[in-house]
Amino acid sequence: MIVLLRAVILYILIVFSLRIMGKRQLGQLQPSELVITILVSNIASIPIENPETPMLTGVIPIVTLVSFDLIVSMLSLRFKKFRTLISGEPMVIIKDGKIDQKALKTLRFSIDDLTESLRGSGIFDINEVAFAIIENTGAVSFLQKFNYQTTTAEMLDLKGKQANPPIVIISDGELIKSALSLYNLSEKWLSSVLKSEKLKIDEIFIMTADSDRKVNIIKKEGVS
Amino acid sequence: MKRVILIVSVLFLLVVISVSSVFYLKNYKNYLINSLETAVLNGSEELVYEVYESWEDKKDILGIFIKEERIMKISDAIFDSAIYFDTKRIKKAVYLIEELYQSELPTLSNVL
Repeated sequence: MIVLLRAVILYILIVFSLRIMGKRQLGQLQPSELVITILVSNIASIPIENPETPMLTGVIPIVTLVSFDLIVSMLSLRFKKFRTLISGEPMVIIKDGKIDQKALKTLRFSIDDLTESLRGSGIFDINEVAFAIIENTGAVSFLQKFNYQTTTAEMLDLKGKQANPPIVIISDGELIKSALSLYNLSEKWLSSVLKSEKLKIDEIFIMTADSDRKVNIIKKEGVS
Repeated sequence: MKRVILIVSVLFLLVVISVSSVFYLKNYKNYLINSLETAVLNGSEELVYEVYESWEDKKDILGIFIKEERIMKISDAIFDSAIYFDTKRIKKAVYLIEELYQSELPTLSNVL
């Protein structure tokens, strides 16, 4: 029972802590954030595995580490030099189509690592790359040479209207009012749409709408 | 700005709680050791029993920040002292209490 309660409490604490730390995917974490994530998960397991250890030996380190991480990230935001000290700087490894072998050596980044990253981005020929930059997270960003870039509307001198993405306004039978206001859609308009479809809000699995008031409705299973 | 204030407040609170726990332990340690040593000097079994009762009341509070294993060791030592009123057992209890306090101090050797 104690283990169960501790697991629940620490789970809530970790979720809350990670929520405070901000939204990043695992691969986008800065070094300090990665350290915190690993530490927090390991520390949390100690009081769960060992009921004789006081809960505070898990809670206090987690709260302290998360607080420090927030201070570090705020200082990083405020001071460029501090940010460079903590997170480093992105480095160019391919410039004007030429590989900077010295930079690769400094980063201990092998050519195999580079070609693997290329393939991950759908590039199978290194000669197609004009620029490549290693980010602080270790991810590699590429800019292909003009001849190999995906054709864009600008290249073909095409004119078109900027489309706004559809947003979810009803999710699993619940209305998201904040989404309506994003495209200045009213509840009155929504009611008229639902009336024409002969549907109620709670019968809808998902409903999206764009700025042109074009809607897409998926009904819940079992609704005729 | 609000977040900075909140974080600093949380950290400050943690420091206050940590420092308070050390002082709490120090005061209680002094009470326990003084009482046990007085009991040995005066041959007072009642005083040892008072220490035992006080420990039974306070050990749950100490258990919030001290490992149960260490609490149990001291509990056993104080219990034996109360039952047998043996100088050696009382000295053992005194030693364990002092050792516990020293291990909770924020010294370099403890941190490392």
